[in-house]
Amino acid sequence: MKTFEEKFNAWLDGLLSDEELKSFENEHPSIQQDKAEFLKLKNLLRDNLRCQKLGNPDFFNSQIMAQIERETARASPSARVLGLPRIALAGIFALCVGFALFFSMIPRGNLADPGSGYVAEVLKTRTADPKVKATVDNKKDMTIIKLEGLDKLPPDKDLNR
Amino acid sequence: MNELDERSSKLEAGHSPIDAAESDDAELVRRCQAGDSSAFSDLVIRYRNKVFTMVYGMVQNEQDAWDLAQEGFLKAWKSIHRFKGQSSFYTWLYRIMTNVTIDSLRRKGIRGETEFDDRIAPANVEPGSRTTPSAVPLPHNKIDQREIRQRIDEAIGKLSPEHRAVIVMKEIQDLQYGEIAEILNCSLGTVMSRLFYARKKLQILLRDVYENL
Repeated sequence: MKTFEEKFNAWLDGLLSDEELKSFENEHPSIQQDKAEFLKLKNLLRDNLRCQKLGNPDFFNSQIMAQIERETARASPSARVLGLPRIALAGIFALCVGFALFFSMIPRGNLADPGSGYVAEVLKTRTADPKVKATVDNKKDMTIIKLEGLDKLPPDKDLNR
Repeated sequence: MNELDERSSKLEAGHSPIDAAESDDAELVRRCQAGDSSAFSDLVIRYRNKVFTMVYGMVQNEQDAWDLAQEGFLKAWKSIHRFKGQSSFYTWLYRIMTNVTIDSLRRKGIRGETEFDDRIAPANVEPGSRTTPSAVPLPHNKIDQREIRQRIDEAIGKLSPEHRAVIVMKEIQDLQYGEIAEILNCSLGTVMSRLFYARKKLQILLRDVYENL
């Protein structure tokens, strides 16, 4: 079933069948006045808005075509070299190189083993004093590293006093 | 007359039958999809005036209408490879233009006033009445053209973007209800309803203008 709005528009545009027209006009006897008003409104809008023409149409076209050219150039093969997939591939490649360097250059081994290259490397880096001796004691769930030969703490830094 | 002018006048003439125009459009679209930007230029020439009039009708500002029409055409070019020809090219183009314009109006916070706003409705209308009584012409003389234009702009400015779209497409562009529904991607009933309320509101706002012409 058509709503009032649908019937009204169809009536206004002369799209109702004879039967529908009669019935609609009988239901709304004062509606004829509306038709005249809507036609005046329609003419008012057409007369004032239809005359609005595009100024300088050739410039309008040339601007669009210039933008299209820019877009096309951006999408050209040389530009696609730096496209998103390429950047992603370069990122993955850089990550692989990074991992390879990490595993080849960082000393590895059992960290708790006093003889391991890793502990030796740490102690060598941290203690320049050859008198300092380090021992590593593995316990269950813990590793104790003892450093002997260190200088005594200055009295003002010693918390046990 | 240079070649471009000649081509423009041929394309803009609009005297060709609709079927011929649509088959021309289809050929131009096919060339655009193959990357021929000069074919797109022909489509712009063919539709730029109609599109500009429609967008202008919705935004009431020449510069904004120019910019939005440009933006719409550029979007059309970028997505022309997705155009499958299920609707006519101009319906598809109008949809892009309408969306661009409505989005722009929404970004500016333009929502339109409510369907029935007591502040603009005449006081002597019965609340349940579906039609409004005709106005008694106001006692001033003929309104000058500039004032008429200003009043129309103000009245359209009080409509929501969706109501503006249907008024412009129906009253100015003379599109069929089915075409408007397709462009706005809504039902025929929605188009009818929007048009009814938009016309009502404009009738109230502009009655003294058209009664005094």
